[in-house]
Amino acid sequence: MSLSSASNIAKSGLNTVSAETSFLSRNVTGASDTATYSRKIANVISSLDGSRVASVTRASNLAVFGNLLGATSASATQNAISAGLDTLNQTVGDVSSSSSSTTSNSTSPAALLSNFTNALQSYEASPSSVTLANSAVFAAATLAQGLNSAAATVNQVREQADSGIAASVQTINSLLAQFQTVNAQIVGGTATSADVTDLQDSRDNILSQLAQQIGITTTIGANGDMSIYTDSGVTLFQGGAARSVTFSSTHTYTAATSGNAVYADGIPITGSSAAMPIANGTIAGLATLRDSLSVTYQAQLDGIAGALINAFSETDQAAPGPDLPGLFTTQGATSLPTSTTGLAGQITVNPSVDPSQGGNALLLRDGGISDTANSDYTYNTTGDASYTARLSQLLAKLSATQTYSASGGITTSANLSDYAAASVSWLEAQRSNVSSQSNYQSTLLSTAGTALSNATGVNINDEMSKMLDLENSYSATAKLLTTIDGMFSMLMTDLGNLA
Amino acid sequence: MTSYISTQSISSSMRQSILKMQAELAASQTELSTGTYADIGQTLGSRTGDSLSLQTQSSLLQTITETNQTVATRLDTTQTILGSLQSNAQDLLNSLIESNGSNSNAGTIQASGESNLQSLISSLNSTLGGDYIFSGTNTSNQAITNYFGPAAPNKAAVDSAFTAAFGMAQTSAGVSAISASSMQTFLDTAFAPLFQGANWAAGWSSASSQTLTNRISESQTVDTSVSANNPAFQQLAQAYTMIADLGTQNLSSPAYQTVTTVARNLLTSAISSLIDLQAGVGLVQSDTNDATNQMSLQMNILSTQIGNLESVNPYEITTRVTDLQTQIETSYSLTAQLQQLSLIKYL
Repeated sequence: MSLSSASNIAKSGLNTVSAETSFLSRNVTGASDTATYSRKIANVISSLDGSRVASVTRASNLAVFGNLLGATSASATQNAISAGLDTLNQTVGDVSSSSSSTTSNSTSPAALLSNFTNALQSYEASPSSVTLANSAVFAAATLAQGLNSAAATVNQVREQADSGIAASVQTINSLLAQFQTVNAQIVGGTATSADVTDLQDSRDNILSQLAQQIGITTTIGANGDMSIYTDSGVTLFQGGAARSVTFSSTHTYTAATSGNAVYADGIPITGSSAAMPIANGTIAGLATLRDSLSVTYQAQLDGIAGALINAFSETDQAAPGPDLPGLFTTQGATSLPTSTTGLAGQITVNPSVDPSQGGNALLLRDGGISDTANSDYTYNTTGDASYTARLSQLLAKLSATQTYSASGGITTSANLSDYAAASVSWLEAQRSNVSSQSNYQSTLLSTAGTALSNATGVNINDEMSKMLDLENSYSATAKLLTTIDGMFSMLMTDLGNLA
Repeated sequence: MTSYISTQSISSSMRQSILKMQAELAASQTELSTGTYADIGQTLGSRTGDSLSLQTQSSLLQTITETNQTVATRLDTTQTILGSLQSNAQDLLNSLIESNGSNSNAGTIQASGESNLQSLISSLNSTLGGDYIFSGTNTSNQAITNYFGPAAPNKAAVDSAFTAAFGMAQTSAGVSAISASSMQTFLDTAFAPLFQGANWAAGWSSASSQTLTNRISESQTVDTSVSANNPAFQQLAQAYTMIADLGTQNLSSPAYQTVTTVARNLLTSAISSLIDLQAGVGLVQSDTNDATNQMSLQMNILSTQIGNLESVNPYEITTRVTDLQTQIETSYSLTAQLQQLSLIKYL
């Protein structure tokens, strides 16, 4: 052992401490970084020649990170559905009873139907009153408009979901492109043993953004190369190349429109035709909203509209002719609708009975709304001012059991008022379920986030105490150098004296 | 093993729980001020429809209760008119019985027959809110043609029948020569048919025989008017016309007696029919009243049920709000303390 080797060891110690301090500063700066910054650990090895930083690793926990990705996707699914259902809930409005003494403020078809029934009931009690006839027709028009705007809201929700999917697909493709670059750098860096920890952090960051949009699973190869698959197993990124996710968006939705599927690597991942449908992520949520929930609700609204048109249809009083649409009809209809699809958006009050369109509201009592020129459809043949038979018949039909399409997902046989109420129940049950799911998933997400942060994050106090250690170590090494220096000087002085 | 916690998770856990509690506090405040759940639909879920159905039912009952007011007013008016018609008829019948066929006060009797006919016509033409209540469903038209009006078809029919039978007008002094038997024949064969069937519809009545029907409860539909085509009114009109317009003041005593006898029989029968009508209307009145009372009870029950579904317990909410306030305050002070608890402060 020589003094110079002691000096070299002390020098290496100084280098090691500086290197460690630099990692420590990176950690402290990263502590408040909300993105996935992970703690950097300098691996120091000591040998006869002193100590050195052999490599740097980052604190990581693949299992916990996987959980976080899963929770992120699941939570994003529920949030997407929840936002859509909240928009659909506008069609129901305020359901509290405090505002409803006889007329409810609620905008739901159920409440509007109730208002209309009441108006008709009042009119039946005083059939000679033009005022009551007008108000019954007005209530009918409000009901038709309520159904129109509910149908429009459903289409709007579907349009928004469609453009949401388009935006999401765009995000995924751009994230995959970024991922490709970062992944290539990691693979290259790993081969040359460079410090790739920050790149790994950035790759994790991309993954968690990707998980927002679509449920994913990942695998890591030996050289640090990562592959990404959807949660249904379709490849998104493999062998260093991103696969393209494609979607062609539909801008305008009607009841008959069905949106396009999303394709990943050429395979459909949403929609009923998909063999490998994704389970989670914003795309999955929006697709469920667009293709399933909204469509079902639309079918319910159409069912209500269809039942209304049927209940108020007029029968030929003279000869066995066809039944014609009466108070409720669709624009320009000359016969009863054969399919209910889209009726909620088209239903309107027949102009011949609507005073605001120049019609005669008293036709509600007399019949003949369908064709004012054809007296065969007039019920009140004697023109009596207090003829109630038709009104009583209408009220009876309104509360009679009708059949509805099974695509409404609720009962197929009920009276109109019960069906409309069941539709509200259905919507609120969905909202309630999704809301509790959403709460549950966001709790899971926050737990997973905390777990990951604890596993890989930075504790400033810990870093500070480490800094104290490093400081001490630095001053001790410096002291060592001074001492060695002193010893050398002493040696030199002594050597001089000798000479 | 030492557990590790990151600085990030210390602060974020506190932040998240404060956010959550603040959201709960806002919801609780809404609930306190409205008395119902902050988001009824979300809280009730699939039972929201039940609440709506109850509201629908309750508002329908409220509507029927209101329309029952209209019905009750019509029934009350009908009942009053029937009562006065019955007492008028009874008065005339009493006078006829008192005079016992003597034509000494024929002039007085004739005058009261005339005034009774007038009051019958005006009573049957009563309106309520612009509707002729005895017109059946044809409420836009007068029920009975005014016998004393200009060119009245019912008066013309009586006049021509009289002239055809006796060859003179009722006002002629020659009516004293009409025999009791020919008067009887005239009354039975020519006069009586004027008050029945097609002649009644042509000369007297524009009313529809179809009476008004109303729904007085969710399940009960009842007839709520009396048509002027009811036989009671036909008999009354016949009896009054007979006394008022067959020249009774100039008739011979036997012919006069024939007229009064027929009139007495008609009045007796009409009065008994009127009493039946009154009883029928009275029954509907009490049905309507019962239905309204029943619906009021039902509405109370319904509103209790709606309340059970939608209302919150204010005491529970108040307690929750207090708890939340305490928790949030604790969180705030903890956050402030944790902020102080950093090694940096001591270096």
